[in-house]
Amino acid sequence: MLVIGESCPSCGNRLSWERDTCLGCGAYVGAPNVREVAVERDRLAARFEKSVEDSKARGCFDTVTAFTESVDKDSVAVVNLWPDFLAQFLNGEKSLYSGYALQTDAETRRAAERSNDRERLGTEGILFGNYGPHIRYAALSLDGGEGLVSYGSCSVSLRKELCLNKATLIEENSYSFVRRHRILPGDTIPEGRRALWQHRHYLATAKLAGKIDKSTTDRDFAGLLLYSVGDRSTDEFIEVHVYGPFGKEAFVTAVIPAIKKAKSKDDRFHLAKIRDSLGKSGIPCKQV
Amino acid sequence: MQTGLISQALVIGSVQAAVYWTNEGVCALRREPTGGYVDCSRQAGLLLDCPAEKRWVVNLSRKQLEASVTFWSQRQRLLNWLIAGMDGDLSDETRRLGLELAEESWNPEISAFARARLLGCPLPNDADTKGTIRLADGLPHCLKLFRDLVAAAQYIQPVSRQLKEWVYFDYAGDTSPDETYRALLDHGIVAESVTFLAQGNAAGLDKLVMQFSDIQALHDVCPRLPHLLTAWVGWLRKEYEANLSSAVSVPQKPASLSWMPNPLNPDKKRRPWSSFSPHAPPKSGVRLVAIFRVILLMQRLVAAFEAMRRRIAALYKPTQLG
Repeated sequence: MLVIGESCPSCGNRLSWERDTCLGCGAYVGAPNVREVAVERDRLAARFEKSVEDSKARGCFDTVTAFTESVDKDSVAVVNLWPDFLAQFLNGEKSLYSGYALQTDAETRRAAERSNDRERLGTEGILFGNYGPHIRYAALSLDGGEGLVSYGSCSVSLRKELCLNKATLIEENSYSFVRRHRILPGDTIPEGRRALWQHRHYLATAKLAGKIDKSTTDRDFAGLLLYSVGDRSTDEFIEVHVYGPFGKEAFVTAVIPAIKKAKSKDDRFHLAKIRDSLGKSGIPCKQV
Repeated sequence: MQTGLISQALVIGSVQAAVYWTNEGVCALRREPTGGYVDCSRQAGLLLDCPAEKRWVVNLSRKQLEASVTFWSQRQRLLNWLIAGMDGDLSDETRRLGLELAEESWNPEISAFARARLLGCPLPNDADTKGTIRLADGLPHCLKLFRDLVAAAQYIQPVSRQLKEWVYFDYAGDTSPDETYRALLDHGIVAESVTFLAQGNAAGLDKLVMQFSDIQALHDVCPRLPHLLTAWVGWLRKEYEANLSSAVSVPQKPASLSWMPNPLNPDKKRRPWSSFSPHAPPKSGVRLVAIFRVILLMQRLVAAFEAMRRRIAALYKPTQLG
């Protein structure tokens, strides 16, 4: 098993890279994805510096700088869900709804056991190893807009504090990242293509500065960072990996399709329910 | 797309999705409004976090998993529409919309599940039933259900609690008690009981044994089902004696659930409900009721004898020394 060269600040024992607690003393040592990606900082900084230098040569340094600042200041992680999923997420814990949900102990236990499944392959296993099942996916967005509509017509943006503690980023969809770099299980992940939340603007610039030229304006930034028209194969985005579960308390804003334009009565109901529930929780909801 | 056998899956009917496990790791699918299915493995983690009822199913094909999602989606969504009707946090417009959707998708099989849950689980404190009845105006099925719910509300908590205690402590079998309880509740045993209590319908209560004792799915989780049902009716009659009038016999087709075929084991048949219907009683119906009453009487005699035996034994218990 891989173990990062890092010791527990409480007891000095070596930490297992895949865990968020020390096996020796049980102290919380931070999300494993965050600890893992932290060591790539220098490599990411080098990529960032290079892209900035290139932009100077192309005469678009100011625009690239504006883009970097914009991502640093305004970007958020957005999660896309379909309407009945979001409506359930927002309401499922209320006693009115949970009172009629009969979850058996066996199902709860099995779900928990399976979510700790250690025999995992595929993209998740390659990128995250044993902590893969704990990863929740989001996308980086500048305008907190509609997000990756190919994964659901409703988007919610996540609290920055949550991201700061538990999120890392990779420069593209992890599935295509693994294929593009032909990474096999056990291979080392190419360095400098992942970032901590607080370094997301460096990653965005390293990835996208080449697409910025003299004609690029501020208005183009959001579309550069996240492009989605409902077809997953053409989606372009920076993927956010959040370690561990989160609830509706992590939602800051939401964007949902206009209720008036809903295609079915069922959709209209769920969208109206989302609007009402968010309003009750004081979470701003924008209809588009 | 997964084509082989899926070893395990969690079906989440209320969001029309399922999380399932393959050699490639965790995957998820969801049902589209058009009826097709799409992959949503990216959201598998969030689906597991989602506060919603999940059903565990094992060893099934992708087609069977889809069928299971459809099956539970129809039931859970109807239930959710009805619950939304009681949700005072939602606008009247949204609540009415939920009730209209429930009314439009009403059919005996699907609505039996919702009825079993609503009249089987204690009414949450935040349920606005008064407002629901107002909003259900012109929606006959919803209106009747919520009127029944209001009428039976006072009985649901004590009755469901008693059945749960029996299942957990007195009638445990190989199946876990919560699974057994869920099966009994979802087949409508609590809902039927409280409805008859609200009606003061003793004759209806007496028929519960016959109504449920032949359901194979219940036998699977509760091998001592006839014993449980007999004792159950005896308890209800004794506990609520003052409310019941044996003269009252409301001829009403119970909402007993013929809907409960296991979608994954459609071969598991049971005798059709109609053979037990009070509208078409078997010729030996009167005799059966008489036999049932004799059994009840014998059971009480045995209980009395046992109590007496214990008292005598206690009187002659040798004193413990040292």
